[in-house]
Parts: sequence; C-alpha cells; structure tokens
Amino acid sequence: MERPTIAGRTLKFVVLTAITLAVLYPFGLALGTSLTGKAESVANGGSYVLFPSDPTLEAYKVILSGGTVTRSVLISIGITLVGTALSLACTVFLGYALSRRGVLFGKPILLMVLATFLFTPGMIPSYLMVKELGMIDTYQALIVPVLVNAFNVVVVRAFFQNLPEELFEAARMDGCSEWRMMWRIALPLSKAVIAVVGLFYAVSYWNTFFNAILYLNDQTKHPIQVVLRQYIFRGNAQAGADIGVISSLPTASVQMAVLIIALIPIVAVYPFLQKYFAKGVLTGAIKG
Amino acid sequence: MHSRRGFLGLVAAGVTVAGLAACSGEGGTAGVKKGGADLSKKLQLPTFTAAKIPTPDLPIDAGQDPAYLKYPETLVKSVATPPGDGSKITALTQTWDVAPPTVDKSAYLQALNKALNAQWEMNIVVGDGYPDKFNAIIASDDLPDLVWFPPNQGLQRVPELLEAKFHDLTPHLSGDAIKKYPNLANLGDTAWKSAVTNGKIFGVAVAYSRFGQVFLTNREFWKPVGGDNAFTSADDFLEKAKTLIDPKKNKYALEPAYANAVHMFSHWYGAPNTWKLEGGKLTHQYETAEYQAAIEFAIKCYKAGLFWPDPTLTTIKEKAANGQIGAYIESFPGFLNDSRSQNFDLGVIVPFAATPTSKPVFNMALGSVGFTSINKKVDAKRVEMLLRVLDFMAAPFGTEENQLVNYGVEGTHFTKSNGDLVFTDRGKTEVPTTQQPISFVIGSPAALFIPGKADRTKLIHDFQTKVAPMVQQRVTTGHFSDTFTQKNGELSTMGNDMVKDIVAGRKSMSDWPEFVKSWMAKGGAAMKAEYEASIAKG
Repeated sequence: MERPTIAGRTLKFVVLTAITLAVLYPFGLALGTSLTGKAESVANGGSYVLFPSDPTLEAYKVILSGGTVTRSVLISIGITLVGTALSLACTVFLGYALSRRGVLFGKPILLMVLATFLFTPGMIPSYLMVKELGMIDTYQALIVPVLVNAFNVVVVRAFFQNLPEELFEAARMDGCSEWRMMWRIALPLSKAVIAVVGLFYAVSYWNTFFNAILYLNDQTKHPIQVVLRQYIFRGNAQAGADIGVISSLPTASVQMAVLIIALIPIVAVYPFLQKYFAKGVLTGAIKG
Repeated sequence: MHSRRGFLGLVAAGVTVAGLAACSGEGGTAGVKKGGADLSKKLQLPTFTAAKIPTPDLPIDAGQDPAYLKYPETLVKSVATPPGDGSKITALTQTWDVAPPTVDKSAYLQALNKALNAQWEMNIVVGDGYPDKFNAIIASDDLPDLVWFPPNQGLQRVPELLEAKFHDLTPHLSGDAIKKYPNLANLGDTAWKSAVTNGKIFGVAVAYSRFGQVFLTNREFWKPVGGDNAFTSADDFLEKAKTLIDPKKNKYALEPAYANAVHMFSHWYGAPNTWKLEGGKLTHQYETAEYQAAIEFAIKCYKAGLFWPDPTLTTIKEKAANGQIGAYIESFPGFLNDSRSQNFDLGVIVPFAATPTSKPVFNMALGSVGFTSINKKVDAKRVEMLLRVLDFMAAPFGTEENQLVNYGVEGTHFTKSNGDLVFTDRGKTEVPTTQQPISFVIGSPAALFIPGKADRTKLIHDFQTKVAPMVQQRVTTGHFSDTFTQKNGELSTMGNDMVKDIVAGRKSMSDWPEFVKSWMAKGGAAMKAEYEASIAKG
C-alpha cells in the first residue's frame, strides 16, 4: 500500500482536529459556564463563557448541597441499570424465540409485537393501565410500560436469524437443549447487537422524563432529567414569595452545572460500549 | 350606579378602574367597584369586603396596590382559630421551581400544618407538564380534594368537567355568603369573575396581579436622550432610540420579542384590550386600525435595527443589566421580581400617545391565575373546612397568616433587619420552593413591598398611579366561550406568528386583511359570537 504523503497526513490531522474541537466545544462551553461567577456572567451579558477568568465551584456546591440532584442522579442510575437489564433480558429472549422456526404461536406473537409499531397506546389508556396495576408513584412505572421496544426486538431477531443454522444443527445433534443453544452459542456470537440494544435502552431510561412527570407524584422520586428541567425553568419562575431568593449565581451557571452532572454517567459508560455500538449498528443495517 | 351598558361603555373608553379598588384593601373606593358586579346580573358575585390590613405607606386612592416602604411592624391576625380538622388535604398544582423538601424535613410545612390544623399535601407537576397530568388524573377519577384550573393552558371541556366532577360553590360564596371567609371576600370582583363558569362559582379565584405587561428599561441606557419617559410620540421614541443603538458594540434598544413589543406599542396607539365592546358588538384588536398601526410601528423599529438581532435570545435580563438592551417586556409580577432581584437602574415606560390623536391605554390582566375547585366526592362539611383553609392561605399582606405562608417562621426562615425581611439559609431552601406551588392553589391580593429597596416600591407605585387613568379591563372576563377554551391556544399562536413574520419582514402588512379573515374563519368569529351571546345574557 502506498504510504500517505505528508500533505495528506497533515490534512487528515487538521480535519480530524477541527471535527474533534467542534464536538468538544459545546461541552467546554457548558463546563466553562458552569464554573462562571455572577459578576463575570453579567459582564458577558449572560452569554456562555468558555474560559472563566475566575472559576468557581459555587454552582456545583449549591446544587449538590440540597441533595436533590445527588438523589435524582442515583435514582436515574438505578432505573437505568435495572431497566436496561430487564429490557435486555425480555428483548433477547423474545427475539431469540421469534427467530427460531416452529415456535408455538410464533407468528401471532410476532404480529402482536409488530402491531405496537403501528398502534402505540395513548397517554390516558397507558395512565389508566399503570394505575390499575398499582404502579402510580412507584419506580416500576418508569420501567414496565417501556420494558420491550418492538424495534429492538426486530433488530435482535434479525441478528439471531442470520447466525449460521449449521451451528444450531450441530449442537442439537450433540444433545444440546434450546436454552444451552441460546446461552452457549447465540449469545456469545451476538455481543455486538446486545451491546447496541443495551445502549439504546440505557439512553432511553437515562432520559426518562415524561413518564416520570405523569406517573410519579412524589417529587423525591424524580429522576435527573425532571430535576434538570426544573433548574432550567427556575430562572423563569414568576409566581413566588414576595421576597425572592436573590441568588448570587447566574441562572446559566446552575443550568450548565446540572447539565454536566447529568452527562457524566453516560459519558463515562459510552467509550466502553462504543466499539460494539458501531459494529452493532452496521450489522443491523446490512442484515435484515 | 352605572347601567350595564353604561359601565361597558366606560370600559371601552378606558376610564374605569373597576376591580382596582376591589383589591386595594382598606380605603378602596367601593363606588367604582360596583360596576363589575353589574356584568353578572344572574349571578351575585361574592360581596367585596376589604380586609383589615396595616395602613399602606403610599396612597391607594387611584386603585394602586397597597405599598409598604418597610415591612409593617404590627401585623393583623385575620383568622382566629386553626381552620382545619386535622385531616389530610390534597391538592393538584404546578411549580416552575425545584422540588420542595418533604414534610419531615421542612420546618415550613410543619409550621403551616400546625397553623392550619391539617396535613397539607400537594401533587406538584413540573412546569409545562400540567395539562397532561391534569387530563390523566381526571381520566383516572382519582381526584385530590383541590384541583387548580389554569386559565391559559388549553384545558378542554371545562364547563362539562366542572359540572360533572366538582362542587358548585355558589351557595357558599355568592353574595354575602362569603362573609364567613373574610380573606376570600377581600379578593375582589376582577379575580372572582375568572372563577365563574355557566353562571356558577365553581372554584376559589387564585388572586394574582391585576396589572398587565409592562415595558421595563435600564434607565442608564436612555439617559442620553433625556430618560425612559421623555417621549412625545412613537416617532420621537424611534428617532431617540436610533441614536442609542450601536451594533458594533452589540447595543440595541429592544429585546427581540416582536409580538410583545407590538402589545406595548398598541398601548401607545390606544388599541383595545383584546376585544372592544360597543353597543353589544365585539371587535377584536386585530380588526382595529390602532393595532395595525402598532404593527406598522414595530416594522419601522425592525427596519431601523432597534431589536436585538437574534430572536432566540434567552439572556435578556443579563443583557439589560449590562446595558446591551435598553428595554424589555415583562408581566407585572415579573416587574416585581426584577425589582427585587435586578441591581441595574430599573425603569418602566408609562404609555404615551403615539400620535397627537392617539389615546394611550394600559391593558389590565385577569387579576387571577385561574381558580381552584373542590372535588365533588368531598362531603358538604369538608367543603366548608376546605374553604376555611383556603381563606387562611388567602390572607393579605400585613397579616400573620400571610407572613407564615410567604415567609415562614421568624428566626427559622427569616429574620428582620432594619424593618425588612431577610431569608435565612433554611428559609431560602424551604420557603420559595414550597410557597410557589401553594401560590397556584390560592393567592392573596397583590401588595407592593420590595425588601431593602423602597425606591423600587415607589417606582412601581408611581407607575400604577400614572396608568390609573388609562387602564382598560378585558371586557370578556366572566364570560365563557367554548371556542376560546378549545382553540385559543392555536388562534393565539397563529396571531403571534403572523405578527412576528410581518415585523421580521417575512410577510407584508398587505397580507394582514387576508390573515384576519382566515383567523376569524378558524375560530375568531365563533369566539366573538359566543362572547356576544354571553354578554347579552348579562
């Protein structure tokens, strides 16, 4: 293979650096603004600050001292871990079963799964169902109604269907049970798709917002996204006490600090899943 | 006493201060207030009785809110005994703040519960999720004792819902019956009208500012042209503002809120407060020459580069604070908030005549943020107890009850310093976050008190004094239109979008007549007919 020229390598370096900076810039801006004090924010007309001249952790102190943000981050982590594990288990089992030929009621079940693509339940029927199941004001309400996503089932099923049938036949001839075939053959070969579907689920659980507002009355159970929104609204609050709390912090600093806190867990996990993510998405794209 | 038509004529002429007096505490001019009751002949609105409050430091003769330069030294006790029966009281409400601490961690809620002899428990919906949660809870039929009905969040089929699921409170509140609840009797006609549906009082009005949007300024910005109230006409404003802008230094006269700016300009041209009533017939502001003149003036301002160029700007207050924006628009409670929290030289533009023939006006707001209804499943005895609890929480400024609800407990949540109140750290955490959702369930009439900033209190009071001869109420308050509840959101977005498009040059003023026709066809005409029929019934 021809060795790239110095000009070519320089161009690549410049382009990739530019793209990296473009991606990092908003994060830097959020981080910089979260570290900005009141005087500097006013002097900047409230605009975002990349490099604060006098960085302060005041916004983080204010947010974390109340305990609300810490609690809501822990709640979100819990919902994400438990929800993703349960969703993955249900999706993988269902996808595997539906990928096998001759499964009892396989077709009707598949149609029922696909029907949820076309007919998504409305807000009020969902609320009534959750209420009837006694899940109002419980964390289950954030997991059970969204436990299985039809799109993910279809992706997983398609992946399993494309595994070489000979592997399963050979295992069967050796007396392997269906359970062992899934556990020992299908799953080890499907790490990429499981990782990507897991990431889909994890991101959606982490971003849980509307269901939390709808199903949770107790504000102490709210996940981080709801709390984040509260902090964004807070700057616009109007109906309040006659003596307002005159914060020494600019609204933008507090908002950006909450944003950074909300970003940390996903940013921490993503690099470890990233290699599977790219592979899994491509696999789903070319095998149908 | 004015006849109904006579009264409405006065409203249209913009000279009435009905309702202003209703909320002005002792010393209110009851004679002017009576005009409001004439609008609802079938239903007797709750009889206004001014509550006892400490004597305000500034006059209230022109319908101003009671103003205090220092926190009153002696408070009035407005409720003799705790109103509750020890039971749990549940309420559906909203907040724009962060979650309040739970009762076990909140000395504020514990003190409130003790004073109420109740266990106050709120289901608090975050920000704009209220209509969704409201609909879901209504559908589940799992209603709390008290449900807040916001006036502007597009709730559907409200009259049917009220009839089916909520108590008709007319026997408890109409006429002199309200005297059992003296603080509710002090809310005033303007607020109470918003709690009337189908000729019945279906809830307790949630009192809020009666004054509408204002044009706030950074006075430093306008000093080179003689100040923010030295304009002789709209063109004079334009010419002076042009000399102050400097795009190179990111300095502009106006925030980029085109529709709100048109609303402010419409004050100068004397456009109606949404609807104009003449001889029983309504005319929408869109149909008036005054409103169209206001849009045309906004176009001139846009072309002259007065508006901040990025219409998505969110840091308006900060830009006003550092002198990059000269004027911005706020609600009246927003004016009070900024008076407390902003340290720049805050000013406010008093509406002036746009042309030698214009008659400037000032549009009043609803005087309430909707009403709070009582679940029909609640028995009659409990209804009275709930009304007593709401009466306690509606106590006006200057009462012991108001101090507890708004500021908490002295020593724990606030301290007094040089005659002003200062929140303690605990107060900052517990009080505003809990008081805000309460303020949507029940409010008290506005009072002007800016701790430590008596000059700001004077500024607001002075503004209220100057606009008193120009105020115009909404002629449709207390009247119901199905089309309004179902389509007002869509119609109002349609109108605002059109105004923004025209001001920003994406559409032209020649498109306006066609737009008005289409707006009317999409619901404006139906709204007009329904309101006219309701007004004709009296």
